[in-house]
Amino acid sequence: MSLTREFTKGLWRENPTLVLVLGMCPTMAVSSSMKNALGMGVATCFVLVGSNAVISLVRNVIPRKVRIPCYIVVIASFVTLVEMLMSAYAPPELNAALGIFVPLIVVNCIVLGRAEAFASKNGVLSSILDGLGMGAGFTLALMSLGAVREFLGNGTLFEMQVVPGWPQFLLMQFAPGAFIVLGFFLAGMNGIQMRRARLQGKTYTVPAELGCAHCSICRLGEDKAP
Amino acid sequence: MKEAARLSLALGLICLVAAGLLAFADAKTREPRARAANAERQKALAVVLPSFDNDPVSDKATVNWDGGEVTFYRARKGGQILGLAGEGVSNQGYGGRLQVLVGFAPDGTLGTVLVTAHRETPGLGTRVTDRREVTSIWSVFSACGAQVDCGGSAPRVPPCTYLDQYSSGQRLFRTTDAPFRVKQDGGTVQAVAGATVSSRAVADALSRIAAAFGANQGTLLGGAPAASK
Repeated sequence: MSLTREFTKGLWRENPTLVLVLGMCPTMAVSSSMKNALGMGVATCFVLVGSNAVISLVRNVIPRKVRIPCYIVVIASFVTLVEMLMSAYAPPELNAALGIFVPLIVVNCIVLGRAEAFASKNGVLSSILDGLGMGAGFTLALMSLGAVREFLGNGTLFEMQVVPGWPQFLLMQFAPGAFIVLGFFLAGMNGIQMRRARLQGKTYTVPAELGCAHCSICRLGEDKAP
Repeated sequence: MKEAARLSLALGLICLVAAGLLAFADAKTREPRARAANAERQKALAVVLPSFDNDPVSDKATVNWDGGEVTFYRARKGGQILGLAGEGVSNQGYGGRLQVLVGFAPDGTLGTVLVTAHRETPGLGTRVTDRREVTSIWSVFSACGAQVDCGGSAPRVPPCTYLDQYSSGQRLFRTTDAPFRVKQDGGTVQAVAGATVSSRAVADALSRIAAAFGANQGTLLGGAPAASK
């Protein structure tokens, strides 16, 4: 796979939110407005690139059987480090805007998922590109969800009133609204993929690397990579 | 057996390196972090206090109250105390610790409430804690609607429906009304739907500040800068 493809796959073909359906907890909470979506996306992208790089560097030193706890230690330390550095040196406005998202990233399984599925099997450069692409894809997905939810909920975009006098639609601001909007997005994603496949005279199948056969999380105790 | 030892050693080593790194970073950034927090406090104090000619950060008194610290900052002009700011924490936030700064008059009438540190969920709890301005997209596009700061007036505080009810609701809140409770708990404060826990935590922190003020009113308002107790 070419390096550009490592980057672009996160944007659409393997979009972490809309295709891999990873990191749903922050997605539900943060996609209520575009500003929050952007903040969370940027913060996650940064951590994703960093943790992918570190994991890729140490991937040959870590014994396979204990790799998951090792990844968790690496990711949690990286996030804590970022948090401390940000509150010490970042401009106060940036810290105020992004600071609250940083602790949420520790429990974002996109980061752990990419560490296990990609960075532990690939070189540093590809891993960094994978992190960048996945982070960008996550940001884009969150912001599109956020745009729909914020507009339907408040009539605002980026906290700016687009339609004056829009009635508050509270459902959109809460988790149920997030699930409903996400459902439409997933259906739309699948619809587009299927239509594309049909136009090429094929039936749409999930890419092989997303299937169960490729994922090794169920075989944690095994010593060798599948 | 040998394998178990090998695995524990590898994991232990990684934890050790991570812990060392974090301890180092913590020690290195402690002072800059405190400095940044202090700068933020100065800014917040300017918002909640009336105009002053002293240094409220050094004219402060700390009171131990109900298992937590409450710090009071005094704003003076010509030696006269014009207002105070109380800073207290609640550990009942959705994300744990939550710090509140509130300004009030010497008679105990509450003024502007700010949440100065918190870890509430973005989009849910932050509707309780964050003050933000909703501008119309049309006013941004049309130049005449551009928000020009005319100067002279005090810095405008962006609104927050929840926080503003303490200072500009139908009734005035006083420190003697403490403890403040949300309606779900039989009180008078309207909690934000979907963020009751965060609403409660802010009310809890405010109640601590108010109660600590009530119990120490004499010392706090007494002449010379009181020693912290």
